[in-house]
Amino acid sequence: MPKKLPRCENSSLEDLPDDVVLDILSRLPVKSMAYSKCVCKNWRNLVLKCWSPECLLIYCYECVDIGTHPGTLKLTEIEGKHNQNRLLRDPFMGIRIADLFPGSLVFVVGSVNGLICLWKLGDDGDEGDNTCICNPITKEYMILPKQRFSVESYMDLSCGFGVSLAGEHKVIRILCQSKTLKVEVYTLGTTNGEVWKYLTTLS
Amino acid sequence: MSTSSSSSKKIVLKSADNETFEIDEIVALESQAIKNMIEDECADNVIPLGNIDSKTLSKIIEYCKKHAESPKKDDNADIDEKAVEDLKSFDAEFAKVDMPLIQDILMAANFLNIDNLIGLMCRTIADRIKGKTPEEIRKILNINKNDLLSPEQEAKAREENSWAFD
Repeated sequence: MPKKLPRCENSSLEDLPDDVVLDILSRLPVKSMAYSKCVCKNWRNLVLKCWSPECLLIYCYECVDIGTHPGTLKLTEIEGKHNQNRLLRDPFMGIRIADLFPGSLVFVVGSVNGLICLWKLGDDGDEGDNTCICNPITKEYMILPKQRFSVESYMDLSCGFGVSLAGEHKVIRILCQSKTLKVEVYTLGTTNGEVWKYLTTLS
Repeated sequence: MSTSSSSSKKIVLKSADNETFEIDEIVALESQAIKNMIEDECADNVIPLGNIDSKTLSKIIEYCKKHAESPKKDDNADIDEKAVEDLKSFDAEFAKVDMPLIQDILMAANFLNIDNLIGLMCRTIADRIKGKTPEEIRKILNINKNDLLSPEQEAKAREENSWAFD
């Protein structure tokens, strides 16, 4: 027999299982999600849950697009299926990257599943360049461990950020130095992934 | 439309307030939960639904009837576009009810496991709270006062996403 469902005088969303409430929340634009976080404790916890990168993978909430403005990351919401012709909204929020990394030159490498990969050129006194993954919605970010090969000029480097078939987020760096290409890969979230994996040298 | 099913087996559903509804089995099969009961042969002639009132149940039956008689997507790749449009406008009309009833329907649809209806109700609720402030959302959805954030917690939550509150 099916189990009994609690019946209230005034029906309330609290009686719904979390996955149904998540179903509602995941249909909201990002700004409304931020509001939902303040509605009640349960919703706050659920919003935080569906904003974590793993959950963004599940819900594929496609909300991030990047425009370049000096020192500011602009995010644009995309409605419906991801399609370059369907950018329906103006940028709705901006994050001052300049505040996160004062005095550094920052480039956007790419964006996948709501995460953004940034590449920061080292300043004077800093030991080389850094790669960083950022979740603009929660404003959390992590700086990846030092790569093996550092650059002297940003002209020498190409960077890419994407998801493998197995669902792993990877950053690839291709460094061109004295006519050879050095390729290394960093995989996010693996326990032994604390280092960049050296792939190959091409000449 | 469906000619053969009109002579099919009937199922009787009984609401919490003891009203009975006789429907074609094919309509009842829209509910995965009832389908499982029928397949496991643990459904008597009358299926009691002790947590769904007659107002909610009659809305749900209305929905299931319409969807049962519409051509299913997996039957045929090139289904009538008109039928799809027709079902869409039915869904839009169906969702034009007040919020307490929407929440009742959603809860019952979740219990009866009617996927499309759960989706439709979730979409409707999302549309109604879109662009609303936290206070407005609480009012629209009649959120339980016992679950509210403390002023400090709410200030923190706003702070974390200050970009949204400009």
